[in-house]
Amino acid sequence: MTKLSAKDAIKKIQAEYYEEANRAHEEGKLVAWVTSIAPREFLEAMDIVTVYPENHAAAIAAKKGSMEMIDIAESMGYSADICSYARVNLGYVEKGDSAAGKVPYPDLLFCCNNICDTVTKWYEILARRLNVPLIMIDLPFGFTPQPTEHQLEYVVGQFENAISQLEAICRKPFNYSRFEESMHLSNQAALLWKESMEFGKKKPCPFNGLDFFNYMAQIVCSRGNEKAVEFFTLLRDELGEKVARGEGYLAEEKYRILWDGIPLWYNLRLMNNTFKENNAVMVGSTYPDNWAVTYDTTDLKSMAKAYMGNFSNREFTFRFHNMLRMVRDYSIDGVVMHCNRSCKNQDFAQYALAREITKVTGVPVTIVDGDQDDPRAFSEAQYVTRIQALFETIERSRN
Amino acid sequence: MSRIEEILKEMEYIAHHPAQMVMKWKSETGKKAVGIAPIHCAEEVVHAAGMLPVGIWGGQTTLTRASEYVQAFCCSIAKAIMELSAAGAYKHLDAIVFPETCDTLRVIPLMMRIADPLTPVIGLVLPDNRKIPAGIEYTANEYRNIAKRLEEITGNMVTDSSLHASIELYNKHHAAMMRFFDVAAEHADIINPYWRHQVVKSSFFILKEKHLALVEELTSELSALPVNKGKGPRVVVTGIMTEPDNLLHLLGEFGYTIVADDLAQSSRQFRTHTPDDTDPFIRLGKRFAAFEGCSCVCDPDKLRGKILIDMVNRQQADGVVVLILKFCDPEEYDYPFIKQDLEAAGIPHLYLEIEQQMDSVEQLRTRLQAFSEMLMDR
Amino acid sequence: MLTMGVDIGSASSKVVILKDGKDILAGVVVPVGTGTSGPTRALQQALEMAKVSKSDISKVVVTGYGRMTFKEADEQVSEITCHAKGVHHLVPSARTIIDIGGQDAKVIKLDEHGYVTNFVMNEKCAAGTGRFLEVMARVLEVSVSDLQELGDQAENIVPISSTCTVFAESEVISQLAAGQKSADVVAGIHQSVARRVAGLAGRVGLTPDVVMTGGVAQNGGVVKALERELKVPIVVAPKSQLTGAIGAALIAYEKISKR
Repeated sequence: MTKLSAKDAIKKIQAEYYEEANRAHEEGKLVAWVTSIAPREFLEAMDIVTVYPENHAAAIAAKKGSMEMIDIAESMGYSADICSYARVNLGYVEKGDSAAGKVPYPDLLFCCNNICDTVTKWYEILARRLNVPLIMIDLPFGFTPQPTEHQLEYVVGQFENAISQLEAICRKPFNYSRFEESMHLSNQAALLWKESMEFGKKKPCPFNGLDFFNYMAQIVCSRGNEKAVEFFTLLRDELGEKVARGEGYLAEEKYRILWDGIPLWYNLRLMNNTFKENNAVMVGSTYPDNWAVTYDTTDLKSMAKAYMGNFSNREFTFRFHNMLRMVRDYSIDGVVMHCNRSCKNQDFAQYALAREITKVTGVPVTIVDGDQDDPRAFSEAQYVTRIQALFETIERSRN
Repeated sequence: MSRIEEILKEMEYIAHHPAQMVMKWKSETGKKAVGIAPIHCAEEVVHAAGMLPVGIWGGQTTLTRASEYVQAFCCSIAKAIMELSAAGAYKHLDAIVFPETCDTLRVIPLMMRIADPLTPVIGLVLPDNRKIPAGIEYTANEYRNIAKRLEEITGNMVTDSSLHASIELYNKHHAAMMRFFDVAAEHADIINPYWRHQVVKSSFFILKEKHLALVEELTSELSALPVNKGKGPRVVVTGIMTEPDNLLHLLGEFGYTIVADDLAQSSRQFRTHTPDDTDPFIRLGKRFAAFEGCSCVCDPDKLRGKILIDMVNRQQADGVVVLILKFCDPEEYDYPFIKQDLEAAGIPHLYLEIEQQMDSVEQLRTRLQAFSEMLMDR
Repeated sequence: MLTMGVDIGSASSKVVILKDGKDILAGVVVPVGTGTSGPTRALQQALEMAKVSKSDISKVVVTGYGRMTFKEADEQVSEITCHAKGVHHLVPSARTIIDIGGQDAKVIKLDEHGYVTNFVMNEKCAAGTGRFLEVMARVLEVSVSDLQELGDQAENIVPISSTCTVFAESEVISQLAAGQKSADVVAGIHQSVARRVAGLAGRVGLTPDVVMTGGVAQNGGVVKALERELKVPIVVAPKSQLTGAIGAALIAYEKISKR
């Protein structure tokens, strides 16, 4: 039996995932719209099908359909200043179809703000527009290096409240045994995901880091069930074998690049080509690490802390050390920061981060202007120029 | 000069000279001052510790250093705060309490810690799930934490009884502000938008008990005069703030009277009464749970439209001026539903995009004039 | 009774003399605007055309960008209100006005009496205004007035997606360099303007009849593109440039009649 490659497997699995989601109501299941790093273990426990508007918006942009949705949202009065994922999704809500196909409308919303404050506003709007209940998991922003005890207590209090809300919505008791199972599976998948990513430290790097933005879909959508464990075992094993054979993604690895932030979903081809043509490989990115969420499954406070831990929920020292560690461990030659017009939470720390990283490590950083889903905020000419300038800077420092 | 004119001029001076007010406080009393960043922060905690709470709301500053830290698409208040921090303008403050208000304002304090490392910045993270018991307990604990951090930095302590006393004072002050707004609406000839703003802005730079005395006197003096509802449109304004000054002058030029406001810098600070409890920190938790209608406070029921409609009806206003601060995501998210609610209620509104630093208000002129013609023609 | 309406824009000065709030005795356009001799010259020419003197005019209302500094008027009223009144006079069935000028774009809703019920103006920049078309025309090495004819020859539409005028300019250059036909690119430019305006119009909603005014209304290519985007027929107002001055003169008449 021939095993699928990870690249082919992810396409198949994601297609199945969307098909299943679109069948959910037929099968008498409830559908939740969920934010990307939410503790979906709670929903897995209640057999609720989870759909991710962010993931859908990325897929729509990859299929060049984001402007259609954005036009609808902006004509409703939504400013072009707000997150393009939100604009694409709010446009989708009106249209009901997209270049990346349909997703079922939700019976409930499950919003976790560890990624930003934008999702709170976005999901408030969805709750009113779609007239469905909103379960809010508020994970306080970390101004201090570690969360305080009372913050963890608050989060656990919300977990307990969410359980009651779910019981009321689903009209059945919370399935604690499936919840426990889901927590185990979630940790398993997260560890496999982390292992897979960390192969990027190897020389040569066995993968094209851009592929991880596709693999990511499973750690987002299926973390906490068997499917994610299955896929990431496949990925980990595939990459492990490549490393054992000394097989690199590139025949000649000239530049090892760290990418900071979300990719340009509407022009992955350009991202791929600009690196490949210059023998550059993205060995790592700050973004996927957000899903390496591991915790003690017997302790809800540990779960709370883990879900509060992604770098966009943290203060500057953490963000700096997080990037510094990657620059060193992954033998990075240059950093590309995506100044993503939609993501102020990240962007406004970039200038300081870029300065500090270069100061401490000597590694050059370039910042490219763009947006995750809105192609109007992106200039191909500027992108190519800045990336080439980075490569030239790296060359100069080698001579 | 009448007593009213004297009070307004005094308030105008305070509003335009915050740094001076802080230095005056420190030199006259020998006590400390703590900055309070926008939007929601119970400054009673600072007051209870015997220090002066000082509002940090950006300002009329030329932006030169801010661009070393933040990109162009950052809101003007945040940029101004960044600018002032980088210029060392906050060095005379003993600490700053910075609430986690939105994606932009959560990163600014992180940058301030780099730009001005000698001014301690304490983060305050208020809950989204503010109404559940765990949320109220959490708010209380956040403020206990603020009190503890302030003690570590300044040596000043908060006791339960001092906090109760401060809360009582602030309740009085807030009630006095809301009463002033009602009385001001009936004396449009004297309190135009510019002067109304001076009354509000001055509250951030002097002790609340001092400001309370001024507001009460002003309100009493105004009440003695005949009612004057003004010649132009009577409106409710909503948004973050009505700065800068040239915007206020423009509103006055076309005879606008602000009969009520839903501004982050104004009534959102004053309109919620702090309820009772034996634990003063829990009182603050309860107040935050009771508060409604700010774009930066979690509101799954989207009550802002209804709140505006109630304000319009209560004052029989002609319409609503929606002041969207450029690059303010929370306000931008709220706008379409506010628009929908106002339209459904048949209330005309004007959408105006503003920045805290605006050299030219020409584009605003046409809109404000056209809107006033529209309202007066009805 | 004679009233006069003066509309001083950034690029032109318009004066209208109205008799009894009904008959247009004079309508003058001078192609220079505020800060020049334009307004004064336009006023003189209008008086000559109507064969009357200034003292025969009962009331003068001024509007437009230059209204604040014009000394000869009794009152100044915003161009939003004047445009609505003027268009209503020319096209009584108008309920939505789309006005695309050199510097800005506006959409105005009006009722059956010509009173403004809602309006929206473009906040951002040159995109979606006459300025955008000027910049593009320069790149194509044609005059703005040639754009319509050029666009008519299009076999396809080459989409121009950038909303920023600066980015769009480089996008047009790239498309031409890649061998795309000028006509097809012009079609894309027209569509781009139409999209921006359609987005603006969506905020106040469209009620027929939809009337277009302003310099850009003379470009049939943009009008057709807009009809396609908005999916409604568009009437281009006759005497398009004078609507503001007509409205001002009408308002002058109404104000006197009220007394």
